[in-house]
Amino acid sequence: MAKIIGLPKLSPTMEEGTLVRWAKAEGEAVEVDDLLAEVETDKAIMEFRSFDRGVLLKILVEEGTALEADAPVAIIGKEGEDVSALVAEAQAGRASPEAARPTAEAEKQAAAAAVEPREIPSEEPVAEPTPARGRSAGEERGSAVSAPARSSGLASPVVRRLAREQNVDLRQVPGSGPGGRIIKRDLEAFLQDRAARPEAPRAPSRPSPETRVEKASATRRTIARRLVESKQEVPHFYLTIDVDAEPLLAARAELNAELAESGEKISVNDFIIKASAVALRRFPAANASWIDGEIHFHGRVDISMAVAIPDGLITPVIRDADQKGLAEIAREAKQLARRARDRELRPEEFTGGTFSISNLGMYGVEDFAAVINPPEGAILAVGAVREEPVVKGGQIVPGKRMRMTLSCDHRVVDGAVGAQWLQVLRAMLESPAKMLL
Amino acid sequence: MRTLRYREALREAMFEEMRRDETVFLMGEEVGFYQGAYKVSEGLLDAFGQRRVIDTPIAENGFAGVGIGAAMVGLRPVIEFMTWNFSFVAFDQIISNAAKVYQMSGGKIPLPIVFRGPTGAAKQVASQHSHSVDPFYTNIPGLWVGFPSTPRDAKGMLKTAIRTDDPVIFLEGETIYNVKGEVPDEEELIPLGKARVAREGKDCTVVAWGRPYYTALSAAELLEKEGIECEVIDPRWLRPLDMNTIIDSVSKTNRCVVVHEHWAYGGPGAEIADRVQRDGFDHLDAPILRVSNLDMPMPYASHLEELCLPTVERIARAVRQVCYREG
Repeated sequence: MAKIIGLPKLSPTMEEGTLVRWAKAEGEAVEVDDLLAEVETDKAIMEFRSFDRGVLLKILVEEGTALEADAPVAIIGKEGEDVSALVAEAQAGRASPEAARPTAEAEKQAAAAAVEPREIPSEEPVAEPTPARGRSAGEERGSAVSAPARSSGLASPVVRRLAREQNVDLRQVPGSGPGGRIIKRDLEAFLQDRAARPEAPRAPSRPSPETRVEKASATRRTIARRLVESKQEVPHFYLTIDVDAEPLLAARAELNAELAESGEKISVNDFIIKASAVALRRFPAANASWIDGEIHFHGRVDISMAVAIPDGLITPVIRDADQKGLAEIAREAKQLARRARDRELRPEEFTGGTFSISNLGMYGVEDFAAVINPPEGAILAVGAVREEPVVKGGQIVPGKRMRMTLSCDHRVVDGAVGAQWLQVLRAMLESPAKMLL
Repeated sequence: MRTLRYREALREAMFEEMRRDETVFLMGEEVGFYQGAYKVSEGLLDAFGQRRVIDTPIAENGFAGVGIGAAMVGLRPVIEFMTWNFSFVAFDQIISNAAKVYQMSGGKIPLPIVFRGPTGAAKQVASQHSHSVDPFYTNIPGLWVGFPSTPRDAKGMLKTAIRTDDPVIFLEGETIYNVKGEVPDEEELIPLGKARVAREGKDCTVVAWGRPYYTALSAAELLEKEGIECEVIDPRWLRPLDMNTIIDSVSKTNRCVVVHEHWAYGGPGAEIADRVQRDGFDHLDAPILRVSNLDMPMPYASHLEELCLPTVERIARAVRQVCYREG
C-alpha cells in the first residue's frame, strides 16, 4: 500500500531542512537504502535514504523547499497505485504514522555516524564504509562524482590550505565531492578559470586613477574592527519614539536664562543625557551587558556620548550621570568633547560606559539607528527637533517634535524592556520636572 | 646483484651474521636436523654445529625465556617461532621480560635478541594459524618490529635486527618465502625505521607491507590503465615508523590508502592513518581509507579466505574512492 514519506531527522538537532536535490524521479523504483534526496540540515548536507521498497509515485515538494522534520515529501508505493487520496492527506498535514519509524531510525543512524566510532568492530573495515555512514553506498552508484555543483561549506583540508594561500573565497567554488565537498580538482579548475579571465574578479579591488588609496589609521582600524564585531555578534533591534520637545525646550530656555551670567549653557543633548541616566536608574533592566554568556546588570549609570573627531568618533564617558546635575553634565560634556577633539582623552575616560547616546540632530538628521558600542546593551540615537503642525486638543497647532531610536542588544534587552524604558524616558522629556522625583 | 628467494635472503643474513659474530646463535623448533620447517635455516647446522643451531622441544615459552636469559648474559640469540601463531604461549616472556629488562635494569642490561618467523594467513591453515600478529607486538614500547616484503629487504633488515642491541620482532610473510628478487652482492644494512618508495606516482599514496604489498602493486598496475598513478610505500619497519617518507608522499598525492593484512581495529594500519591525518592534515584531499582483513576469524574454505584478505579489487576501489573516481 502506498504511503506518505516524511522528511527524517538527519541529525539529532535537526528541526528543519532544505530539500536540496531529488536523487530519484517520479516513477523510479526505490530499494531500501537507496538515495532519495539530499537535505541540507543545520549541520551539513545529508543523504536522505529510503527505508521503503517500491516505486516513487509522487514527489510532493520541489527542490529548494525548506521543510520541518516529518513534513510529507513523497509517496512511495506499488507501481500504478492511485495516490490522489494520499496527496490530499499530505497537503492537509503530516506524513503517515508509519513514517515515524524511519525517522527515529534515521536519527539513530545519524547520531551514530556523527558522534561515535561504532562499537561493533565488524563494521570497522574501511575501504567500504557502510550505508549508515551515509556515504559510500552513494558513491558506488556514482553520485559522489556526479553530484551537482553547489556551495555546501565543505572543503577538504588541502583545499582549505590552498585557498588560504591563493586567497580564494571558497564560497565561489562549486564542490563536486560527496555532499558537495570542494576537492582539490575543483579548486584547480576554479584557479585555472580565474587565471583565464584575470580581469573580471580583480577589477573591483584595482583602484582607478581617480580613486585615492590611503592606509587606514590605527584609530580607523580599531573603529572598523569594533563596529564589524558589534554588527556581526550583537543581535540589534530598533525601537523609535517621537516625543513632544516643547516642554524640554521650555525648561532649557528657563535654565539657560538663569545661567546667563555664568556664561554656561545647557544643550538639548545634556537634557537627554540626564533624562536617559535617570531613566536607567529607575528602569535598570536596560542598563545591562552580555559578557561571555552572562548578563551583567550595572549598578552605576555611566553614559558614553559619541563625539566626532577628525578620523572617526570616540565615546567619552560621563560617570554616574544619574547623580549629576544638568549644569555639571553640561560642563563635563563640553570639556570631554573638546579634549576628545584635541586627542587628550585618557583610555579610562572613553571606556567602561554602560549606555551610549549619539546625537546627529545638529546636522538636521531627523532619525537614525546607531550601532551598539559593546559590551553596552543599548544606544540611543537622537534626531533633530522638528517644527511641524501637531494636533492638540483637536486643533492643529505649531509644535516641536523630536525622534529617537533605541538600538538594543536582544541578548540582554528584549523588545518590551526597551519599549518600557523608552516610556520612562519620554515621560521625563515631556515633563522635565519628573527628573527631580 | 644476484637473484635470491626471500627465504634464501634470510638464510644468508643469518649465515653472514653468525660467521661475523660468534655470539649469534639460532634456536627453535626443527631449525637444525630438519633444516627448518620452511627451510629458512637450511644448511646452518652443517656450517655452525649443534652448539649454535639448537633444536628445541615444542615449548615456546621455555625457549623464548632461555633466549632472553642468554641475551642478558651477552649472547645474541635469534629465536625462530615455527609460526608467530605459536608465540602466543611465549607472550609473557616477550612482553614482560624481553620488552622490559632494559628499562627495569635502569639501562644496565641491554637485550640483543631477535624473535623471527612467519606470520599471516598461509593457504587454508584455518583461523588459529592465520594470525597477523603485527598489531599485538607493535603495541609494545621496548620492542622494534620489522616486516620485510622483498628478498633484499629481508636480508638487509635481518642483519640490522641481529646487530641491534634491543629486542626485535621480525615478521616474515609465510606466503612470500618463495618470492624472488635482486639482492646486492656487497653487504647491505637497511637502517632501522627507514621506509622505501617502491613505486612512484602522483595521485594516491598506498602504504602496504608483507603479502598485501604485492597485492597493492598489482592494484597500482590495474589503476595505471585507468589513469591513476599510485605511489606505493613499503614502511619496512612497523616500529619505529618512518612517517617522513609517508608524509612527503602524501603532501604530493594528497590522498592515502593503507593496506594491511591484519584486522582493522587498531594496529599499525590504524596508527599510520592516525599519523597521516595529524602530520599531513593540510595536505589531504580525501579521508584516509584502509583496506584490511575482514573482521572475522579466518575461514578455512579457500574461496572465503581469498575474500577475507585484501584483494586487488578492494584496493583499487578504495583508491578510486579517495581519487573521487567512479567505479
